[in-house]
Amino acid sequence: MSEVRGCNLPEDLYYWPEKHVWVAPQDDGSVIVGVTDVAQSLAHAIISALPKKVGRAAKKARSLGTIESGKWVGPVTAPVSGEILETNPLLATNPGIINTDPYGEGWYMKLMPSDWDTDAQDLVTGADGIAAYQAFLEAEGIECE
Amino acid sequence: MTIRLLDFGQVGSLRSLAIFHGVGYAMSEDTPDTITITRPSDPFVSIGHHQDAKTEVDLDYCDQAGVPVYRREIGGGAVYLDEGQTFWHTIFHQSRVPTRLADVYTQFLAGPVLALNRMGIPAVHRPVNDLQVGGRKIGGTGAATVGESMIVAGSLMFDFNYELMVRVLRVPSEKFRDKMYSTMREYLTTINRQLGDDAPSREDGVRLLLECFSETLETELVRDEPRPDELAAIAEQEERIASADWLHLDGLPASGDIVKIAEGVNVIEGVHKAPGGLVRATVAVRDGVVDGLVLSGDFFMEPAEALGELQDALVGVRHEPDPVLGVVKDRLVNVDAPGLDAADIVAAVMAVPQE
Repeated sequence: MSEVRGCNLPEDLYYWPEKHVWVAPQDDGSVIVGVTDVAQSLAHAIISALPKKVGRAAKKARSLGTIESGKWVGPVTAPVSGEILETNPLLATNPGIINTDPYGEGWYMKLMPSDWDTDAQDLVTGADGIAAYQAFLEAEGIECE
Repeated sequence: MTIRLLDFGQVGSLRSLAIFHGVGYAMSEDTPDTITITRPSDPFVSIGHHQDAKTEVDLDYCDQAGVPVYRREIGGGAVYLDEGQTFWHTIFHQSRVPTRLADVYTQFLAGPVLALNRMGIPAVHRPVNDLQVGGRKIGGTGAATVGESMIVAGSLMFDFNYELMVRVLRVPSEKFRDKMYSTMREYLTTINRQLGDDAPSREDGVRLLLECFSETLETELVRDEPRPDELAAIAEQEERIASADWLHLDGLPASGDIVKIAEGVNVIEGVHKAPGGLVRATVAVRDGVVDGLVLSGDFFMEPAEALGELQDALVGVRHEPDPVLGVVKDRLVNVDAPGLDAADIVAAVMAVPQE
């Protein structure tokens, strides 16, 4: 786990820094998607989360569903295209888990990407990925609280 | 860069909602930042993005009264709206607003605060997003990312129908409704309540608001007409917002019996089944402190005045289990309440879920 401007950013995940989403590829070709520590920090206490339904198609850069904090509602942006395989059942009863454990129990959904190799080219990972995310945070003046 | 002003004037309630959604969805980086003004010609209930319509709103009543219920893509709670309010929306490309939400609100609420001040109302922006005067809320605000836009929504609240507001909501008991009404009257005010005969006309109020937006955003507002693609997007949103599928989104978690009145002010209903009977607590909580309380149910308590004294003693106590327990224990000494102990009352007051 590396920390950048107060934000936790694990090196083994893929990121879309501008959209503050993370992707964890699984052995079976599926990916788990969630919002980053940066996103949860910017949103503040999340009081509701409504992922789209299992079986629906996900389109890269479009909404996978929404999250609501006390002061804001917005989409979770799809980092890849594909099919929604599973959504996190915990979010219905405990959406605040996104704040407390964004990379663990606060995952958003599982997808089967339709073209991982192509979509992954726009994502960043590893030490270089963290550096790229850091550059974005610095350019935007974002810090986690 | 100027800001485009789209003043739609008075429109139907459905259109008043569809306009900001449509303009938001139609926005691209090339679209000028925009402020829209609308005033609904007919009453309606607007529910928060993630609220369950049938849980929050008395849909049968609304149906009989001819009050439509619509879901908005902005968070928060259900609210009864009518021509007493004029809505404003700042619809800016998300690349041109601050990243931090608190900064977004600071930027866009400065204009409405200044406008209220110039009307003679000493309103302030209470972070994150409340507009208050003397501790009372004067108009709600909210924010949402819609397409590529960041929308901040608010209203000039000339009037507010408190009676219908509490009538359209689905509440756990009539006591809750009464408590909500009195709390709302106390903590929610309007331009007309503040200023009486000195209140400005709707037109003057809007004119002042726009001047103040221009001044605080340090940009000229340029009156314009919506583009054809925006009108098409608004029409599309009208269809979506009016649809039963959108109103009755499934997969929404049911919320508890809690209604937010203003920032830091909530009315909560707790029900607890004790061996001695059902205990129902309707509690107004302000900034974490009990502000008012009604205990009811089918339990027995003697002497008769003990219940009222207990209620009075709990006002001003922190709404947390330990302080509440301390007061309840203290008050139950020499009180006969068979099958009911202090923990049962605390469970109701704290609205602890019961299996």
